[in-house]
Amino acid sequence: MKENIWKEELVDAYVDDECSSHERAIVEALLREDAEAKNAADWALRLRELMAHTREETPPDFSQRLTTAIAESDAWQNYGVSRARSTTRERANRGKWIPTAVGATAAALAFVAFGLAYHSLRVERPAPTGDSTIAHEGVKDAPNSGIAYEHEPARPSIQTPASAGSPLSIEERPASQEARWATVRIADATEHRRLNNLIQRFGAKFDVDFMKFDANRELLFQGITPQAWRELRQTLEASGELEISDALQAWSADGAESERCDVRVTITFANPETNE
Amino acid sequence: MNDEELIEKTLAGDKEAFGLLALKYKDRVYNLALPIVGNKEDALDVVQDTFMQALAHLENFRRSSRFYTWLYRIAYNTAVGALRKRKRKPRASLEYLNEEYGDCFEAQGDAPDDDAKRRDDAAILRRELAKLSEEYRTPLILREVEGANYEQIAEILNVPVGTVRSRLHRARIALRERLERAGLKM
Repeated sequence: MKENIWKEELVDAYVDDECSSHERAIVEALLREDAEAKNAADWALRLRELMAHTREETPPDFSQRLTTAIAESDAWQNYGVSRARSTTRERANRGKWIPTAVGATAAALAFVAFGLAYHSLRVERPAPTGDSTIAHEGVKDAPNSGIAYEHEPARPSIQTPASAGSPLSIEERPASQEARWATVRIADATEHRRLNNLIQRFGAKFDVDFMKFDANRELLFQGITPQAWRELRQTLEASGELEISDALQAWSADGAESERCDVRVTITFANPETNE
Repeated sequence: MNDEELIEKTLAGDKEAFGLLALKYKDRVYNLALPIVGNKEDALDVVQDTFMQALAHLENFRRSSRFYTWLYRIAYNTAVGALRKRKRKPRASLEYLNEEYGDCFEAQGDAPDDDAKRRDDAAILRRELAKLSEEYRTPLILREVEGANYEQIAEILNVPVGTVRSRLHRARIALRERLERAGLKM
């Protein structure tokens, strides 16, 4: 009895892709020989497909309620003042490292020269290390967020401090960042919902950040690896007709796994009348 | 911009940065809270409370885990706390089920088209899922709706990975029995 439960759990773990290689071999043998195990695995997959349709979204007006509550929170007293001051200091110091570095280098050279001169007088002291500390460059410019809100026009809904900079909408992002794109043409709104659920799972599985625009019809995947893209590509191809840019094709085929990039995916409908 | 960068900006006093984090994860938190508290209004309150708490304690967030794992843990505790406060049993609110699914509880008589069948199946699934115990329902939702792996579920629920594995298995068995009794053909 106990062994049966263990095997059943193993089948579930296999469906969840949570097995070791040894366990996987056991389950695959089981699935070949045991109809009940096969039935359980099929059922688990069917349940997964069904549960993907239970996903819900918050109402459109909730975004405003949430961001307003955030902006008005008392918690900002702890973050804004002391940290903003140090940020201001960092920005004030930006670019001042050059004269500091020159001065430090000159001091180091003088020290080494002194040391050599001292040594030549045959005073028995250990030679100086001659190390010098170079001031680091200042904080990088805050990156543009390049993000538009899901249910709102492409402008920030919260007033930002001037120092944070203005976020770019997806249309304003530099062209080179948009070279890697894909368009998938799907049947209808139902397929769109299914695809959205699959993409959510993909994002969680591969730990990929992505932003959604225009009622989930424009997706921007940030810092994706070639392997993760290939997985995503399979998902998109299973949903509809896929077209990808030459740059994306080349990067996918030849890019090193460490070479991450942003990929923009546009979803269109085969029948425009079924667009939501 | 990734979560790490948004968190750094938030700690520097950037309200928009945390707003972006909240908009990114609000639906996921909502889907975790909804089956626990049983109605949409309470679930939205949980979502808002979750982000308020996350904001208040962001300095305590350890970078060793993912932000959304930490966030889900707050969400789960907030939802369970909200339920206890209202002294309700962790069952579906019939009011919620009726409001949302009305006459869709019963499967259609004649052979329905694909969309209608899918809607009926989803309605039956939601109803039966809501009847599972909290111990089984939350890991199943985290796995099947949110795509969390066993390790992440274990971290969110503060239980060992082995416990997650066995609870998921038992959840699937329990749900299968309920769905078959409810007439859902898989």
